[in-house]
Amino acid sequence: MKMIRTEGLTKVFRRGKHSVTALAGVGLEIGEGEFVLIKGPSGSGKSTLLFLLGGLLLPTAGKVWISGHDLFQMNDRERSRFRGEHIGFVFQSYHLLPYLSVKENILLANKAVARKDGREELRILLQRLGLEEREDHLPGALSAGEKQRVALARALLRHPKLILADEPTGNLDPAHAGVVIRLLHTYQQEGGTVVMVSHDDHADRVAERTILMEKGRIVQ
Amino acid sequence: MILLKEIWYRRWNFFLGSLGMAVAVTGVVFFVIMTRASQNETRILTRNMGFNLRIIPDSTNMNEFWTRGYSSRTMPEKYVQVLVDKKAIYYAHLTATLHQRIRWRGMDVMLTGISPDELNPKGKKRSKMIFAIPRGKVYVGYEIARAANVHSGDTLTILGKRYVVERTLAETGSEDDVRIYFDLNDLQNLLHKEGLISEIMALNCMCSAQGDDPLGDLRRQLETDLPDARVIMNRTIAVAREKQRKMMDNYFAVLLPVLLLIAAIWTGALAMINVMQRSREIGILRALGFRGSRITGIFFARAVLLGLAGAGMGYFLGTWLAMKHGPQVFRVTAKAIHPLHELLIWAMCLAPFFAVVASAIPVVLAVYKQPGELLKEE
Repeated sequence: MKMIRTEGLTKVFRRGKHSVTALAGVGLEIGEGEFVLIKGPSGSGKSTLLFLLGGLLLPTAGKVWISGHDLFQMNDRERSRFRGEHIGFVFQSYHLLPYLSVKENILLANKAVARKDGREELRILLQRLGLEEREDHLPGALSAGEKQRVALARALLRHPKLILADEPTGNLDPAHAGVVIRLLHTYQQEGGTVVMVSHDDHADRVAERTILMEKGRIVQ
Repeated sequence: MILLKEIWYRRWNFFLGSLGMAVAVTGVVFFVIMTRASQNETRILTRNMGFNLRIIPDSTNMNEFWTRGYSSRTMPEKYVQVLVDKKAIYYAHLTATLHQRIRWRGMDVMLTGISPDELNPKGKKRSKMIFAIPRGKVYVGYEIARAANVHSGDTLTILGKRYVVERTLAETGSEDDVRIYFDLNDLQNLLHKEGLISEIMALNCMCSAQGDDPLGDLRRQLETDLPDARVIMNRTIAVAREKQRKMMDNYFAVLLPVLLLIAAIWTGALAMINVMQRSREIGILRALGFRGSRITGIFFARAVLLGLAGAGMGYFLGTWLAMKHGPQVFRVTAKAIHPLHELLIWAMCLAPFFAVVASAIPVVLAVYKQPGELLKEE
């Protein structure tokens, strides 16, 4: 069973009279439970591909299927709900809401799809990610590594089928980067699918497959 | 929860935002209260110029009237009641008077009787335009008091009857300085003119409410009811008064919308800046699966709270400023300057409305933007 399938995926950004082709007809298949690393030089379209896989951007052309669901056949509301139910995101700059505590930031994932409060899952996650002592702290009081673990906890709370991680270790020192990669690896070993954009050496070691991108195309 | 947490976390930002709105509301509230005070002040100051309508017996020799300053003819006192009962005639105050010029202690003196009751339109209580003189007493004009060495409490004999001087009046620089004022009934008895008057003085608003010829309108209305009366209007005073009032009304009509527009733009800009600064948050919420309508609701609720806080603060600040400085500017109506509570209701409705309308554009644009674009915009 394929977790992700894309066909002719193209994204062109228009800025006034100029247009930039970030992705040019990408075809891709990723199986369930795979850990896939996407690499490539800056501007090669890695993040754009990840955002398209998560339905955060609309493609100029092409299709994306997640678990057999055509992501862009859905309307915006359906896609939001699908994203909330099945896809977890981890971003390089964490994207935590600064006014919510660690606990509230993590539970926000459940509020989006009006699920039950998830306090039990939260307790397990906090323990697993070593954040029990930090649950009432605001993000501003956390270290970079802790912030990224909170972001990861938020992504994991709903037990999504897929985690899309955009350079999650980009702002972390090697020790903290290792922790995050290990956590993602554990998630994958428990049956989840991970697609990660990263230049991190730790990621190379756990990834089952590496996709190389250049100028909006997959070259390897 | 998100809304209140965010407000508390950025409480200074929220406070400054609502303070910005409060500045706009303060301006409007202060302006409206001061303008209302200014209009009242103008009305009272112009009213104090004197009566603008004189109703005299139709048989009056006008040449004699203008030369002597009063009509030597009389008409029935009951004419006043006819005017009161006539609903089609609009007026602010009516006072019946009787005049007679005599020689007294070697001086030309004008005896003036004033009706004890100043008649106002039914259901309307208005401040006294002129004084009421107690029976058996007189008020003595400045020039007569000075020339005859008359003081309060003295007893004067006039045409064989004795009257106590209740008060000597301050100098007015007008013919009033050579008057002795009586209660109307006292003077009617003294002159053997019971039930008769020389004139009805009226402050009338017809000149603003009627067409181009208010005097003609009033004359036509009075023709049937007061067949023996003639109406004279002091056009100079009436026109000056009307111009002053219109000037104030125009000032208010032009400035208020301008001020409201500035306040609306100001509140709107603040609300818009807040939303634009938070577009990344919208992206995060969208990435997590929040529906656009829910995010819009969160931002609109914040705009409403910001507007309400600004409106409340602005109302009380504007009212306080007006109450503090208004009496120094408008001394005549100082005591009549008071808070306008209806402005609080208006402010509580309009400030949140402007805030929501102004937020709507950036919120809707952000919510319906692709979340990936918002997250990349940081």
